[in-house]
Amino acid sequence: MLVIFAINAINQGSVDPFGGLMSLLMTVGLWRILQKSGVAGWWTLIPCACDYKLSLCAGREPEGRVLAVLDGVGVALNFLDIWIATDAIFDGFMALALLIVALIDLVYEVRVYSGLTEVYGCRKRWVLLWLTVGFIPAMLWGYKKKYQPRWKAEDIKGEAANFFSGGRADVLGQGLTVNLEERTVYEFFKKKRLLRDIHMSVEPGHMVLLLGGSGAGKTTYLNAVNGYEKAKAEVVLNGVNVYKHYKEMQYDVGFVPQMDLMRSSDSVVRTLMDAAKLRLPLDFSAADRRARVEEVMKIFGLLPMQGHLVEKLSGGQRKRLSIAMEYLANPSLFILDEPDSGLDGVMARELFGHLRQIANQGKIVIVITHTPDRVIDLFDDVIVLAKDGNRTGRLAYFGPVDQARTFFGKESMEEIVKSINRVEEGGEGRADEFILKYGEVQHG
Amino acid sequence: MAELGTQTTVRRRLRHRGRLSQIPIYLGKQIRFFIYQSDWKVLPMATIVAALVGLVIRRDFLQTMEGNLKGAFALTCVAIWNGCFNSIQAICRERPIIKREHRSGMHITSYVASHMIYQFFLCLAQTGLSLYVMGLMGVQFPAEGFMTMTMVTDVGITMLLISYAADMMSLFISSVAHSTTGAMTVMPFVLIFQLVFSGGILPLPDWARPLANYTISNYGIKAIASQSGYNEAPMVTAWNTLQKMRDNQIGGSVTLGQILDALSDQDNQFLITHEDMEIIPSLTVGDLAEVWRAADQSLGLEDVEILHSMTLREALTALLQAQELEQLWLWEAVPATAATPAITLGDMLQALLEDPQAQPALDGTVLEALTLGQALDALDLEEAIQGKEEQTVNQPVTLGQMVDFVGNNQALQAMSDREFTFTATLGDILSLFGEDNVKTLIQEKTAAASRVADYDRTIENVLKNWEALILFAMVFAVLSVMSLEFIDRDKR
Repeated sequence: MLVIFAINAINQGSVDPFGGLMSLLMTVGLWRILQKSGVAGWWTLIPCACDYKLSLCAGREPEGRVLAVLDGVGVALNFLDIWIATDAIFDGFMALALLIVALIDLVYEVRVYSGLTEVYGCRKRWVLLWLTVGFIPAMLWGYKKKYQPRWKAEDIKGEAANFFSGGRADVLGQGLTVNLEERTVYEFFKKKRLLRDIHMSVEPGHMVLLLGGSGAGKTTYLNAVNGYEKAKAEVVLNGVNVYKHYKEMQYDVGFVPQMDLMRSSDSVVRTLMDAAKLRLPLDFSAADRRARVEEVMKIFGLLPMQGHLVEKLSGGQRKRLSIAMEYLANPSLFILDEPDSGLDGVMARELFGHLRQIANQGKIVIVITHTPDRVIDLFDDVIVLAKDGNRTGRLAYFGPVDQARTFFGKESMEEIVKSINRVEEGGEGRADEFILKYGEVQHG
Repeated sequence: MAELGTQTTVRRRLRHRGRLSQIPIYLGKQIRFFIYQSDWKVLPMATIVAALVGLVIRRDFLQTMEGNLKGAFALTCVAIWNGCFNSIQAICRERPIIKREHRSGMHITSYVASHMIYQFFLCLAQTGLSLYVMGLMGVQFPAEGFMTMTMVTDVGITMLLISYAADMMSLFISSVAHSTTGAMTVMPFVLIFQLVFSGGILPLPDWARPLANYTISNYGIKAIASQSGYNEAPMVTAWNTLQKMRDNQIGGSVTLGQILDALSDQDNQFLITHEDMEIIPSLTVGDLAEVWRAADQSLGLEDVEILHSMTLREALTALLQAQELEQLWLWEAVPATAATPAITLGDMLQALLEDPQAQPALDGTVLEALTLGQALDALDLEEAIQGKEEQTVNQPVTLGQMVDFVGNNQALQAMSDREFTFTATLGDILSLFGEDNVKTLIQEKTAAASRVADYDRTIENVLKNWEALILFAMVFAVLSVMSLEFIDRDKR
């Protein structure tokens, strides 16, 4: 705040004493607010980082990134205004740019301050104070003991954050072996680790449930397994490295996304025929393709509505069509992301029964579902992913369903998920405990 | 649900469809989308837009410079509008589906290529319909073409290329946008940029002119203006404005001294620069006769009386009042005696004028009226100048000579306070010079001043702009492929 005030003062060629005092009080207040949330107070002196760190305290990290960039743009524009000899057109553009930055900045500030009021358990009307006379709430929240954050930005690190099993799963000649060291992305010039230290071997013919709280990295894990989003890992399917031979193996892995991603203007049979053209090898003749499509339609009960447009199908029929598209290529590994979303219990049970039949043919079926208990008897194994202290997805359990109940001391899968979820998400916050426990069980 | 049947063996690690053979799959999807979804609506939309624009440009398109430019701009707008709305949602509306199919072996190049083919035929249909509807609305295209057999085909090719380039630009936006809302938010800015910075209708400041090189509309307008012969058409704005002002009164007063001061100003740059300019050319007898005939026709000088009819009374009265004869009338014809005063010659003439008996004689006409035409007829001017038309009657007079003459002429200097007052309508002045002459002169001069080299009707100009439009389309298609290749980075 102070630095930006100083830049503005240089730009305008004068110092507003009241503005200077407000900036000083705001900086002092924010210093203490950051400290209350476990963040070093001196970050308030760094123009772009100050807003970002405040957004961490407010639990609004994505908004903080935008605010930091906007701060940077604002500072750059001010410097440009100082250094470049101006004319009317340049001044006009500069004013326009600053106006746009200010408007976006305002929206994102509302979001961050709104998050901060939630963290401090205050009413939303405080947001108005933050936006108009921000130094008042900054000083009050910073220095009055009455105002305390419900959780701290840096207090979520647990023991498991630094735990690394170092173990590796044995590669199976038949079946799926995953040895994932880490899956990272770069966000806002910062390396972010999404998954880490996940090792497992799945036998052919197994149907595996993938459990985990929101943001635990379930879909990221599945994308890493099928090779579409590569991780630092070795994924071996039936003795072939999926990453090294992705072009060939992509047809051996069927991935059914959560949404019914099909063109509504196509008929059922046309959707499957086009999918067959993409997924089946070239040595399949047109007659072979047609036969395969008819076989799959028969298997998934789609023959009666083969001429219907996709948009006319019911939710369950669409799910079956979506699965049938991937099943056409007869993959060894079948991955489904919440295939039962939007289906009632009966239809979901029927669908999972069908997936069980696919697994019984010696294929591996991995399924994410948020209502596992109604179909848990159909699964052989369960994978439990949980966020550690660094918000990185970790393996909290992999093994038979019955042993999972014992391991977590819970009767149902939904209770297991609740036990590993964070407290602020309504869970028990025991993720670190189970990550460590599983590591100890597996590797001593 | 049926029981799982016997598995058809699917051989693995075999060749799958390549880029080329995937194109028909997606082309088929585009066509089905056209029939079963909303894509077909772009055709009636194009006809409505073309009809509205046709109504506006039908009167003067290809007739005048202004009409040409207005028409070129309007046709470009129609084409850009059609192209943009063809594909702005084409990719973003099915982005998650593309991602799914990409992970199932779809090639991005095949997908974009199918769009390129489909959109080309969509643009072709729209262009054909647009030109047909404009014809119905009364937009006249000359039968003879410049680049091809007909002008409609010429303009049609240009509109197709503009439309296709805009289509590919929108396809790129659609490939970058993650939702239809995002794409439609960007669309107005792109359209405004294309129209404002086209460099055609709206004059751009110097700093903004380079931006026009990055707009499809710039090349579209140039191509159509070149084809339709912008530089060969008359410019009518100035003449039309004069016509609207023809009842305006023009008048004022100026002294001869003011005119002389202006002409004798040593610092007058105009006079210095144009010192050698001939203001009165060397005239021949024929030229003068021509001027006379033109003036006679336009001003009716033939009927102007150069001698008025006169009675004896008027002649004598005029003589009596002439100052030059004052001494004569004071001469004493009868000297004074003791009984009678002297009788002057003027007294005698005055007595004659008042004598009742002399009145009939005094009212008799002594001079018949004579018009200029009668006088010239009597002189038989036409016969007199016959064979002497080429004979020079004067040397040319330059502006410098005229200024010197005016500056040194004592008689003119003496009359420097003399004031000239004039009042006339603009219409009178136009009539004086001949309306057709003024119209031709103004239209030629303004057209020459408005000439743009880029609009010259040459094959090179048209081809250059066509190439630019094709380049735009190709660049945007490549950019679409490049941006879609990153689709696996989309956030889930």
